[in-house]
Amino acid sequence: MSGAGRIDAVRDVGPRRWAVAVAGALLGLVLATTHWIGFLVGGALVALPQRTVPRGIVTGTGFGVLVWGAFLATLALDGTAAGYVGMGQVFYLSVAIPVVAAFLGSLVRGLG
Amino acid sequence: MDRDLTRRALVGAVVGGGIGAGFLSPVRGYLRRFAPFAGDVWGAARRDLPGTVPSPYGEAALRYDDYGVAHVEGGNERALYFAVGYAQAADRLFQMDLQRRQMRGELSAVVGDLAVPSDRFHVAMDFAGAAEATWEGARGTETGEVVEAFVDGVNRYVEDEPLPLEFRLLGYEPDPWTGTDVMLGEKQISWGLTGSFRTLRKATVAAEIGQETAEQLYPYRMDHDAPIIRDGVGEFDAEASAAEAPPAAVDPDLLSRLSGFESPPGVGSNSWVVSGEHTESGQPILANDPHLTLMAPPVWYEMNLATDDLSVRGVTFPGVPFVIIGENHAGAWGVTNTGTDVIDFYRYDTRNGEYRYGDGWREFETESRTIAVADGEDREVTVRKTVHGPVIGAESDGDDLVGEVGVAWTGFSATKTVDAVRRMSHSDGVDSFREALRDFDLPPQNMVYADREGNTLYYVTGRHPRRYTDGEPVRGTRVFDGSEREGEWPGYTPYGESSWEGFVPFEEKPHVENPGYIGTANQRIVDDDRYPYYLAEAYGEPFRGRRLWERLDRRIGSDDPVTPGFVRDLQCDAYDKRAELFVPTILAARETIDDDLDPELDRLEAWDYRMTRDSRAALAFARFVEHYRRDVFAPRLREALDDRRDVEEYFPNDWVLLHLDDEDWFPEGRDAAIATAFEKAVEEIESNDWSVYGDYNVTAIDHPFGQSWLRYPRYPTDGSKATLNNFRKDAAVGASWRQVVPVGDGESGAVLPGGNDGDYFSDHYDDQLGLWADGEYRTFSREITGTTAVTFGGGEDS
Repeated sequence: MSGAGRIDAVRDVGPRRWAVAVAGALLGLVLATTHWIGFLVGGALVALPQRTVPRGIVTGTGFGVLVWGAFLATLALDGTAAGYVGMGQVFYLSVAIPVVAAFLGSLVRGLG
Repeated sequence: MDRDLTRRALVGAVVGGGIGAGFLSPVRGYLRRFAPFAGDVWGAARRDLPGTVPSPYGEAALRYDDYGVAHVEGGNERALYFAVGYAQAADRLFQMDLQRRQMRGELSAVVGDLAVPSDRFHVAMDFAGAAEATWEGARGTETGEVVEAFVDGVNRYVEDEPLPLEFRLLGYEPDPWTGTDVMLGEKQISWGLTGSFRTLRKATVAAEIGQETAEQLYPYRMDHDAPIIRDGVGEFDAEASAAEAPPAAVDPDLLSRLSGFESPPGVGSNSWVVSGEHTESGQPILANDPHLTLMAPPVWYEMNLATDDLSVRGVTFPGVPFVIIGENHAGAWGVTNTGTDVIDFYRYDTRNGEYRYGDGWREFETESRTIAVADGEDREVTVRKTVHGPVIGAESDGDDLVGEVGVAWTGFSATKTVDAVRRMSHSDGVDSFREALRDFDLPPQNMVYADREGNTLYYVTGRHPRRYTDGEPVRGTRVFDGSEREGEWPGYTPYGESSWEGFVPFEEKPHVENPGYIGTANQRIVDDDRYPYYLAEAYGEPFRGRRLWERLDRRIGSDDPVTPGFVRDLQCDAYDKRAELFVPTILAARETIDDDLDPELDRLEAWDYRMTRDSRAALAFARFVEHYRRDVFAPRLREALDDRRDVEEYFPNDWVLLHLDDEDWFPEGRDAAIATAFEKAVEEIESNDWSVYGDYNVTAIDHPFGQSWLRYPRYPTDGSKATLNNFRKDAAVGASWRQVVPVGDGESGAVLPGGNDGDYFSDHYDDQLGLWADGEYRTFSREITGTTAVTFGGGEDS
């Protein structure tokens, strides 16, 4: 089976699609803890198994939001979330980075 | 097919462009710092102390209490101060490094061109050289060994633990801490308290407008009856005379360059001690609140320290190991700035890299230094020195103005203040405390002390030069002719060990043994006809001093003994003596003021002169004084002075302003000036929609970075520049620490204008600011409490 054929096989089966997406999200998350490229990679890996391009973009971007939420949760556990939210432009930038990067990554769903 | 291809190409270009931008463009820096999880700055949000830290000096424990105050116990003194160094680095490392960089002239290396003027000044003054000389003198002494343990503690933290947020934002790592850096801290605070260029400004006004005007604006003494020492010193003839000096205007470029680096306006303090004879408990009560720059984090760091032989709690400057203001097992102490004169200026005849000194010519001692500039071109600075100290100057443009001066300052010499401060912590009572003060070389301070035996003490600290011209003592109120060897300081060696032999002897410094009560608020120390030596070119305005004496006299003359409650109330007293002096004058000018402003004047008439946040009259008076000052001085000074000068730098103090009634300053009469200023004040109040003083008088305490999220919250508060509850909104100066200690009996109270932890993410970043703004206190006890954060020990030598 060709590469495209394999992707199609994944996209056609719901449980398989979501399993791959979750695995992609975990990989992206792990990567994101060491480098921002993880948001982009995660966005792409989550988007690729989706059946349509718009779904891919929504899911990929959702990955960015989810990872940002995880980040906020770790700060909350450290007791520093309130300070983080009060950081003005730095806060907005840190929200934008995972969302925009994951969105960019999700666009690869449009490649085929 | 073509459409698919185009879409794919477009998507590929967008994704590829995004990745490229992330790796190659300036966006890369933002991603590296702020990306969630991996961004550099987030390490600062997850700083946890490690629990155990090896120490080569022995066992110690660091605890933090409910206000983030460090409580440190050590098995011996060096183990203790290793842990103190570690704690200060954990809580204030960036502040310590910033101060060090400022004094060394190394700010530009991390913040760029913006700081080049500051670096040029600090390099030219070679404060670092003075600190090195001081450390050379301390190294190998008992105090030097303790300082080394402290330095090792700082460096242990720097090596092992995540750096604070500010380093991550600026993208640099601090150099190792050194003994010289500790001494640099002493130089920094000393310069902030004594580095005044008033002599140069006064000389300029004398040359440009006339000697009489210079005396009027900058009087040698203000006529009041509230000196610190009111009696008991004796009658003397003044030793030093004010020799006539030819007028010499100082180059405006030089003065404007220097004015940014002198003691900020409003720096002062209050302190007083009341002996047990006048207190309810029969034990002394001591109070102190130094008025320094209010900033985030605060200038002071609070700590509570204990070994088997030591128990001391109080505040220090971050980077300095020892408690400077506080209490120990035997007594309590506090300081205010004397304002005495330990700096002089010299001009020289020069030729080809030489200056004339007496009958001979000497080469300037020169050294070329490089100022590193982040994202900019490095700068070269030539440091030049004479026998007096460093030479600072502006580019000469060929006029007759004084374009460069040599500077003599006691702080350029090796000093022993750090040793003296350590010995203060160890003192066992008034005698050993007084002995420690012998080596408190700089800055000159009004020290008040009380011990558990009931002794009280007032003593002026610091080395005070006696200046000589042709063998005759002279005052340091003019720019001296260094080539003619005027104003020499026998016993002074800049950047080396001074013998201090020609200075005012310790026993002859102003002091009072066992005063029943005594108060200091930067006013004149003693009347000149009661003391032989020249001490000061000028003292602080007496408004606070008069109020302090008034309330202490009244209470002690009454049937009510002094209590800690009374002392706290006095420390937060908002009665403004300026208003008492001048509101009647404003009301007397009522006829000239617009009738529409009658309600404002009625409120002034009914006012109790307290600068409280709920007062409308306080608001009107505060804004009136600002407009009145500008209206009175700016026009004439602008006309008389070189247009390159910032006339506001030449405005005299409010004592002078509010006593002035001279047609030279009021061409249309004083009442007309009052009316104009009052109308401007009301207009300003209405346009800003302020209704009471607290709408305007709001804390504005900021972090050096300037980002709004690092600022402390804003709170309305009481007080003015002239009240005991000291708050100078325009200059962000005020009570930088409030401390009230019933010595040996009762609970001490204290508060910081902010929080003890400089970490933005900490709960203790600003947790005391609300208390401070409301004039409240928290408990200040020498009991070691709190949760253990770090235990030290198990190092190679322990």
